[in-house]
Amino acid sequence: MRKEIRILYVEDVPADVVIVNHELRKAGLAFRSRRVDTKDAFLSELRDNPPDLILSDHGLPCFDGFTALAIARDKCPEVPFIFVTSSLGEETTIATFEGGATDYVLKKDLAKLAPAVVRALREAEERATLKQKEQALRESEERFRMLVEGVKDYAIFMLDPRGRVTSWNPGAQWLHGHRAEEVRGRHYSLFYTPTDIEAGRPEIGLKRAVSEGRFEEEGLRVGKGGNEFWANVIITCLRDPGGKLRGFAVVTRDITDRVRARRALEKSEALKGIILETALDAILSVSHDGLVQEWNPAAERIFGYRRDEAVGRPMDELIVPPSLREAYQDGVANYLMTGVGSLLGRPIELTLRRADGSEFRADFAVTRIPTEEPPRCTVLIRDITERKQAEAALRESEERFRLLIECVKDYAIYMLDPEGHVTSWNAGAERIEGFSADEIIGEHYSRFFAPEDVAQHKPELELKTALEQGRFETEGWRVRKDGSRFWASVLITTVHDETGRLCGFSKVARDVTERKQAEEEIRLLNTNLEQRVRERTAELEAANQELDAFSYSVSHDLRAPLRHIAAYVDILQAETAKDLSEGSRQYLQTIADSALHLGHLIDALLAFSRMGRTEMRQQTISLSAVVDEARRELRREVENRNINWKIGRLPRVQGDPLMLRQVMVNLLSNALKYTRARDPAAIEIGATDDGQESIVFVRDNGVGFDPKYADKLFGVFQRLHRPNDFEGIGIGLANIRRIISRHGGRTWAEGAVDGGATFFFSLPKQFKG
Amino acid sequence: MIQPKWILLAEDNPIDAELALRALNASGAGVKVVLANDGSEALDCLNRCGTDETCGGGHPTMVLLDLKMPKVDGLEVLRQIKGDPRLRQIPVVMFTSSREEADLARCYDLGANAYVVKPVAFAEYRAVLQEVRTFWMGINELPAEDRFKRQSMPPQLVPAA
Repeated sequence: MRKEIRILYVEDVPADVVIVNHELRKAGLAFRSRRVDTKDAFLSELRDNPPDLILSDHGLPCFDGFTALAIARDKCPEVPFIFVTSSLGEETTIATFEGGATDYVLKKDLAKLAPAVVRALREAEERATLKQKEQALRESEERFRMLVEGVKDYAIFMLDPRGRVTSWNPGAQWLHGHRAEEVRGRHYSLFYTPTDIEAGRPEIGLKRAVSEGRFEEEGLRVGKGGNEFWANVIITCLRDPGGKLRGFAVVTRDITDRVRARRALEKSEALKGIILETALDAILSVSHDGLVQEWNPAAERIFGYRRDEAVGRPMDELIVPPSLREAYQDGVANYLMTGVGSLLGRPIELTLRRADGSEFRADFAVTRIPTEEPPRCTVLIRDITERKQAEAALRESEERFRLLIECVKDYAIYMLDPEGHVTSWNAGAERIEGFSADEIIGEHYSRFFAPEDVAQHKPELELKTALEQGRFETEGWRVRKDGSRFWASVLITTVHDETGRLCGFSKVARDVTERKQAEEEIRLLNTNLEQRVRERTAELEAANQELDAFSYSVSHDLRAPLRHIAAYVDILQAETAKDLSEGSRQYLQTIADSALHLGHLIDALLAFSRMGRTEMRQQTISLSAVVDEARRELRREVENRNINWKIGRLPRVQGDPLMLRQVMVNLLSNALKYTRARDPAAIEIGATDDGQESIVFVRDNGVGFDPKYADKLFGVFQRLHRPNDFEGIGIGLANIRRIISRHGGRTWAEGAVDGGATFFFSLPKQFKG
Repeated sequence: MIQPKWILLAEDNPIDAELALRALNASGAGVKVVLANDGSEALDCLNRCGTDETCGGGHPTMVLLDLKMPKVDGLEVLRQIKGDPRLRQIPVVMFTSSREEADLARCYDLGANAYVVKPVAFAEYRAVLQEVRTFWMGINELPAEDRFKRQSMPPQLVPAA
């Protein structure tokens, strides 16, 4: 339905306007109209209410139709202008059309007006449409031109029907390198590689564009300098409205980077495929609803499901143990609702299940593939059964070791990093050094050294030596937390990891202060001992000298009065014998005997004392020869005796010949004395050898002795018999014991009352007197 | 010129001196004995020999010398006698209580001609002194100077214990 149109009348007679309106309404036109009859009104009406149609009378009292026409043509040339007049001459009619009026209708022929108006309006509308189209086209072309000119990333150029360049945009210049004037008129095969030219690619492109209207390809193109680049090329066939071939538009884009990226991507994809296939870990692709989409060979191996068995099935049914499935599904549900996945992006360790129902520990990592919607996940699974076992074994071992180390109280055991900072600390270290672990870990171990040692760089030197030799052992003073010192025995050992890199040092230290003090004391004692030995020796020498003086005094001063007693008794006896009674003479004799006996005692005592002081000679002696000498010396006592001598094999011994002769004389003398009542007497001399010492015995069948006094026999002046029965002063066995002792041997006796006696002495084979 | 024979007895103990005189004159030999009560007297006597009538004229035939004496002891007297060219030929018999080997050795080292330990029993005492007197007085010629040097260890006149 047409819209209401606006009509402007230039008419001085309002009744005519009514008539015309009536006529137009009859024709079915919907309109509103305004009437003006002056130039000013006309102009303001044109400006304020632009009409769709102007109907004008010819002659007005103060305005005229031609002036109005001229104004209208000027102001609004597209608005139809129709003269509606009473009369119009031939010349006027011509002038009307010459002035640009659209039509004219006589007032007497008003019936023609409506068709004229309709036609005028239609024509005006057509003109307006055309004008708009033209405008749009013009604008479009301009935009296109600007676009083409402005595009640098695309080479856009035109070819004539034979393929020669007719236009060249800056993008083409940028891409191909040629300037417009260099390529205009040249065949576009200039941009192809020789191989493509030989293969006829330029012609094929044009032919395909002609036959299909458009041809697109990717291929190598050549720039001005001979450089090749990957291009996406679109060739569009251009025809005129009659269908005649006008030429081609060519749009070329450099896609070298894209091609490279794509090739890299293809290569990378291929590699990923290989990785996926050869990976030792199970790699699964899982859709957002939990269905397995990808299942690599490692997954087949680990879980025992073939790929075709696994793909399309829910992952949890396949590999999650029933006991964990609910938790797993909760986790997935939570993820779907909140987007927060407890598993996403965090490798965790859990128990999974194989096709045969067995379960194992696995590292399980889920990664969301970021680019896909709906999201998919990649699941990475590693069977860590062996690692877990190894870890458990290691942990157990480490735990045991740790417990051991920590419990050791007698040793400070701790670790140092390569620079010497404390990294671990056991109970023993705390006990010995006084620091708690909290206080010392991280501190440098030079804290344990005395300031003077630190000043001498001992801590550094120790580590350096340990590093060079693998270990370092030392002893020295160390300082406790409270500043007190202790003498430490220290062992530093380097610790390397499996690659041989230095991890640090282990240090084992022990407080050996007591030992050190003991050593110190021993050293001191040794020093003192030497001093004391010297002192004692001097004392002993002094004592010996005193003893010498005593002996001298005894032999000299004691014997002198004794001698005087004996002498005067003797003189008294000689001079007064005949005046004295028998009893008195007997008394004098007793005094004489006693004095003599006392003289013997003193002499024996002096001899015994001399025996201890006499210097010993050491030589190898034949005991047989000693026995022979002794027997010779005692030959007088053997006279008129019936004696069975039994002399066994006697050894050679080390000793002082005179002293050993004395021993043998005393033993044989005793044997002879105590067998005096025997007939025959039996005297046996023999020896045994136990490897260490020679044991010599003298056995007789004499009166013997009571065994309970066996040891008293060897005392000075000890006698088991009355002097009246057996003469002697009781010092012989004491002398024997003294001599044998000085030889490093022992003396003992066996016997029984009236059962004979056996006297033994031993001599060591290696005597270091 | 025949010098009268006499004996110089050096003995500090008057009892021992009396016993020695008694023993030396026991068998009525009537030998002249001059007693010196200590070592210094003995040396004085020896130095005055020939000038002093109390010393019997000339050197003594023998010196009986106790070891242990106050002031100058027997060893010192022995050393001076044997160190003096005029006296060294006089036989010196050590007459002592000491059985010490050290004393014995020292005396022989200094040139003593005999070492006699005084026996406890007076009979033996008397016998020993008479043997000594008889031996040394019986020798008309004094031992040559080199004789006692070579004869480093003359028999020891010690009675068996």
